[in-house]
Order: sequence, then structure tokens, then C-alpha cells
Amino acid sequence: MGESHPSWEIKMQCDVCSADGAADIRTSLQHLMTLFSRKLFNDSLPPVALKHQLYSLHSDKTSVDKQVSELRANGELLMFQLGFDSEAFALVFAEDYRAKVLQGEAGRETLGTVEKFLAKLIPGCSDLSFNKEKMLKEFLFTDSEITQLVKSGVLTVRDAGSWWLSIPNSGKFIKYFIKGRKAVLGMVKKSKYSEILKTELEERRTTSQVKFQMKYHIHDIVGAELVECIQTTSGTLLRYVDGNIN
Amino acid sequence: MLSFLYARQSGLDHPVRLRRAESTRRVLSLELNHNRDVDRVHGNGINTLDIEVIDGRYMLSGGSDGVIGIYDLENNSKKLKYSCKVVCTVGRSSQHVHKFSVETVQWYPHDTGMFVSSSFDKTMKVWDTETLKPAEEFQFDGNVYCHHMSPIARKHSLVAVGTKDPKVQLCDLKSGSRIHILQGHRGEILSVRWSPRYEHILATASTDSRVLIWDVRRASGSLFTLDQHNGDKSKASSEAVNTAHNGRANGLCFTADGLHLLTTGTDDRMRLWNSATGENTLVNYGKVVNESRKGLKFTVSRGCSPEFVFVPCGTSVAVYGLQSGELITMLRGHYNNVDCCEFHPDYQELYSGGKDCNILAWVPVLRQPDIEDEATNSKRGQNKSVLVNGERDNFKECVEILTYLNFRLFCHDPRTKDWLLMYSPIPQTVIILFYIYFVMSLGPRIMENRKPFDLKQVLIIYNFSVVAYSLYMCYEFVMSGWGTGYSFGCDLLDPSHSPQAMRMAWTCWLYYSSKFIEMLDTIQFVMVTSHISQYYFMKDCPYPYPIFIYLITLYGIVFLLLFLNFWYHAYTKGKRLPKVLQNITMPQDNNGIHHKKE
Repeated sequence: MGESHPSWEIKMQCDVCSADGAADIRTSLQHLMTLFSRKLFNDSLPPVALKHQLYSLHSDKTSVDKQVSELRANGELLMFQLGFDSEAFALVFAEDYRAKVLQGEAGRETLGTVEKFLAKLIPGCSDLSFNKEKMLKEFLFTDSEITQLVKSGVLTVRDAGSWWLSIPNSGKFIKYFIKGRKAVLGMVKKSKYSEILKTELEERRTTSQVKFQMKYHIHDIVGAELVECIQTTSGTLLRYVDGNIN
Repeated sequence: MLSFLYARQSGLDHPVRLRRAESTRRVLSLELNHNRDVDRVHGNGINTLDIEVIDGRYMLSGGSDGVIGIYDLENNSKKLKYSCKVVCTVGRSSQHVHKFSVETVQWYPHDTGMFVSSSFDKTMKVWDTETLKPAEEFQFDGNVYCHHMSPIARKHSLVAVGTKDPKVQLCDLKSGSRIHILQGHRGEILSVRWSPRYEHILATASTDSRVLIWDVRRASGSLFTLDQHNGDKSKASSEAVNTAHNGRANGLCFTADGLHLLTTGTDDRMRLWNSATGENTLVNYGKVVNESRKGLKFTVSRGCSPEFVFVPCGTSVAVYGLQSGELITMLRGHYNNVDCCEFHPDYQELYSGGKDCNILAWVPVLRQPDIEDEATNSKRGQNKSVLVNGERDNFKECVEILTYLNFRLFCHDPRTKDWLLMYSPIPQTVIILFYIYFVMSLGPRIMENRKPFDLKQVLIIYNFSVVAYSLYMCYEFVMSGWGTGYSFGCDLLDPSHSPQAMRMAWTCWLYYSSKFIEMLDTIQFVMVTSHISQYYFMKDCPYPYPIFIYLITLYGIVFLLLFLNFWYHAYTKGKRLPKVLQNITMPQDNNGIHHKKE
């Protein structure tokens, strides 16, 4: 048809979800991983990104979710429940995770068990938590092996007889993350009219509370919808949303 | 549009396609319309709206004051401006009115002779529309949150009622019995909905975070429960297994074809489910703000492709694409929280009611022809200069000169930033203060005990150079502004970087700096520079009169008077006056020029 399509028709065309879609998410994740400060944790943690940070980079949340599950099904990506928020999921590349865990376990007696667990986990399993039945029957671990896994930090206790999958030494990460998020939100809230331009916030000096890079936290608060993102002629404006618990 | 019409005419496309395309376009252009209004009947918030299915002509509304109103939505007057009139109300004066707030109203699905309302006074009343008296009244033990009659039922006439009691009650309109109950929930039932596809399928949402799907013919319990993690028990914490939401589930809506079910919960999430299998389709709508302690009434569009969901979110109505989950727009217009919204499928209009007692009608905007707008003001540069956030509010407040001198505005004309004295008002302030100090106290103190300086030479040189400077500036002003396009009134600032504008800015700076030099003309300095600084520090000149021109005219007049005085004294000291008066002219001090008395 020769005539130009009105804008609503363009909106109607569905998103073309090609194989490029998953690659898109992978590149965004890699970009987010670069924002993660490794030396803060003395290189003991693999670079972690949060799933809702991707929502600030891509507008269609449903396709982001779909592609993340695709990557998880392939065994490229691992997802963890962080515990401080039922909706906050951490994403780590499987290879990074394996490398760091084995690096942390080197020289300890739990190394063998952990390797066995990782071998079971990485290509096949995409669960966030495991219960006793599964560990004993499917994975054929003994009780003492499960204790060793908990000790090494790969599993954390969720409930009597079930465990979350976790990143070893991630306690510090969560602590700094929550503090930093609160501090950045406080910066936005204290600004005049509780709103600030995104570029201006990026240029602000990070206080001692904020250990990560500013951009990392900005992606977090935008993706978790703790601030409203408004497009203005001067750029993106972040406005604090009332009713946040944080 | 023309292509759609042609395709339909020639048989290339199914007729439904044109209808769907046009409906979608209309829904995407929903807006508040000045011409459409709905009469205000309620004194307190509006909790529920319902439009009848047969004609789409009459609308029911139930409010927190217990009043029920019936509106006629059809525009029979020939005028464009139309207000949906109230046909009748069950007001506070009626004998049978509900004592407390009406939570749900619904027309009888098959005709408008009857409607059912339920309220916090623990009753549900079946009304006869003609007489506005209840034909039947059902009493319950707890507050009635919601009720629903199946829109397609032929084989039964059951009304499902959700109350504070965890048991869902089914009341039969034909026999008046209420013995049928559905057990399964553990908390208050906030929302019930019949499926528009199967007349025996019912969905219920409750404060125990679960949504259950029932077949009312089945005695043993619910068919299945909606699980947000789709059976993946590993995702949730152990308490949240098998729940639809992480908070109270308080809103239900089936899509028009009955294949999907939407649920909202107080965890600020909205989920889309496959109603046959109970599977979570995992469409991510983001944060759908939901603070309602009762049920949330939202609606889905009909006849469009893709379909849209209209959800009340705080004081606005959010429009989401059903399958994509993207936020299309927020419809803002209410002054307080929106509680309910209802979609009119034939005209693609949305009616929303809220705590501000208004029912607003959102009407699709008609197609406007595109007008080529030759900007007549392009010469003057209608582009507003880039403003720092928050400064726009400042501009509206600062009208007086004093507030400008207050230096609240540190917003620059970016072109002049680097010129001397332009970066901020502080150096200028310092210079002015020093001048005042010098003139008032320092100067007199220094000169007290000295002979006056002989500044004659200095003054001559200074005056000539000032005249030359002023001539140059005059020339510059004419060339850059008033000779080449500016009018003699107050124009808007031309903030562009065009050579002409830069020239004007440069000339204004020259004028401004020359004023610094001529500290002697203090009053003129204050007035003119504050006007210039306004001119360059803000968007609009608030003065209706062209002050610049007035000042120049004033200058001219003052200069003329002074010159006349000088001329008179210089040239009429003897020769010009008639000899008779020469003797009686007083000896004047005339710059050392004395004339001998004849």
C-alpha cells in the first residue's frame, strides 16, 4: 500500500521476536555486568545483575522475561532469589558463577561435593530452590553432602527441608546494594520537587553509602519502578514515587 | 483508512477487519471531551458503574452514599455539547434506599426492567426499574463486596455474591433460594465474575491471595486455583505457594471472548491467565498501583485488536495493551482516586467514576485534518530556550523587579555566558555596592582635605568617547534589531544562535557595560539594566508597554531640555536679548565666561 501507516497501526505491529532478541538481552546483561564493581568484593563474587535492571533498558517487559527464561533454559544464565524482595531476582552468567565458586572452594574439602552439584545444576536445572526430596532422590546427594553445600554457601536455608540456590559470599553484596539503593532514592527524594534529571544524577558524587556505580543503581530504581521515568525536552527526568517502602 | 475501505469494498478483507482497526484507533485516541458531561448525582464517591448490554443506552451508578442513579447516555439533542442526563435515582429520600455504601450494581443481562445492587448494609436488592422498588431482598451476615450475574446464562439465573464470609453464596433469582454455597476460600471474597463463554464457570478472588475457578454444577469444590508460578514451587517462598498474588487478590475481569482472565492484587501486579488451564501467561504489566481495600473494578475493551485493559491506578486510569503488557497511556482527569471504569463497546467510550463524585466520559478524538502551519512567528524564534528543571515554575512566580534582583534565576542565555560580567549577577552586585560605598563615604573622606582635581581634560576626552560609543551602539541596535525586523513593542526573545541574534545580544552587552562606566546615571542604570536582565533571563516580558522605547524617548526629552538650557545660557547672555533687558539680566555663573556690563 502506498499510503503511510498512521501511528496507531505501527503500534499494532507485534514485536518481531527473532533470535536477535536473546542476543539483545545478553548484550544488555553484559553491559550491566561491567557496571558491577568487582574489586569491592576482592574478586570473590561473579558479576551480578538484577532482572529488573533489564526493564530500564528494554521497554517490553514480557519479551525481556521470555528471553531471560530462554537463556536460563539453555543453561547460559542462572537466576537467584535474593531474599529482600520477592520480586528481585539476580542474574549471573553460568560460566562466571562456576569459575568463582570453584575459585572460592579451592583447597577446601567441600570442593568435590560442590563440583558435583554444579555439574548437575548448570546444563539442566533451572530451579530457584530445592527441597529435600529432590536433593535426595533426583540428585542423589546424602544428608552430609547437603550440609557441606550449605556450608560452602551454594545453598541457603529457606524452610525446613528446602533450600534456595544462592551465590556464596553474597551477603555483603545484598547489604551494600540495599544501602546504596536507599541512599540513591534519598538523593532523588531530597532534590527540589523530588525530581532530578537522569544525567544530573549520574554526575553526582556517590556518598560513602553508595558502593556501586551510580548507573547500576539508576537502572535498578528505574526498572523496579521506584521512580517514575518522564521524558522531557531536557532528557529523562526521574521523579520519586510516593508510597515506596524503601 | 481509505485502503481499509477499499479493501472491504473489493472483498480483499473481511468486514470485521475494518471495524476492528477503526475501534482500535478510536481507543488509542481516548481523551476527555469538553462537549460530553455526565450529570452529577452523588454526594460521595462513586463505587460502581454498569452499562446495559442490550442497547448500551442506560448506565447505572452506585455511590458511597447509598444512592443509585440511572443515566441516559444517548445524545438526542441536535447539539454537540451534551450532558448525560439522570433519568431517575434511588436517592436518600427513598424508603428502600441502601443504608450504607453501594458496592456493586448490575443490570439484569436480558433487559433493563430489573437491576441488582449490593451494599455494605449486608443486603442485596433486586429492583424493578419502573417503580424503583425492590422486588426481592437478600440478607447476609457480612458486608457484601461484590455480586455478579452471568451475562450469557440461559439455563440458570444465579447471582454469585462475595461477602466477608469465605463462602461464596449463589442466590437464585427464580426461586429466591440461597442454599447453594461454594467453599474453598479462607478469606473475604473481594470479587466474583462469571465467564462470558461458559455459563457455569465462575471465578472468585479473595483476601487469602488466591483465585479459584469453579464449575457450579460440581459439588466437590473448585476446579483449580490460579498459581502465579505455574506450579514451579521453587520460585516462591513456602507461604506463597499456589497463590495468584503476593497480596490480596482484589480484581477480576474476563476478556470478551472468555479465553483469558485478568486478576489484580495488592502486590501491585496484574496477571493474565489462560482461563481454561489456569496457566499464568507471564505477561508483565509492570507496577500496577493498587491500594484498594475493597474490590477493584476494571474493564477490558471489546472489538479491538489488540485489546486494551483499563485499570484505575490512583487518580488516573491506566491503559495497557492486553497481550503485550505495555503501558499505552494514563488517562488523567479525576481529582481523587478512581474506583471504577466501564467501557462502552459500541462507541468505544470509557466512563470512569471515583471519589471526587464525578463520572468522566473519555471519548475518542475525531480525526483532524492536517494543517500546514506556516509559523508566522518563525522570525522571532518561537522556540523556547532550554530550561533547567523547576525553573519554569519560578518564571510564573516572579513578576516583580525585586524578585529578579533577588537573583533567584541563575538561568542563562547560554550564548552570553562567557562574556564579561555575564556569568552570574555576583560581580555586578559587588561593583555596584563598591560604587555606593565610594560615593557615600569613601570618596568624600579621601577628598575632604585635598584640593579638587582638575578633570577638565579627562572629562572632554571621556565625553567625546562616550558619544562615539553611543553612536556605535545606536548603529548596532538598528542593524541587529529595530531596523531589520523587530517591532516597537515588546517581543519575545530570539534565543537562537543566528548572527542577527548574536549581534543583538552583543549590542545589549555593550550597552550594559557602558552603563557600568557611566555610574553617574544611577537611576537610569537600575531601570534599564534590570529590564535588560529580565529580557535575557526570562522568556516573556511581562510589561505590556514598550519600556525601552519610553526610556529612549525620555532620554531624548531630557537631553533636549538640557541642550536648550545650555543654549539659552550660552547664546542669550547678551547679544540675543533686546538691549533693554540686558541691564537687568542677573549675572550668571557661566563656566567662567563673564560678560562685561555695558
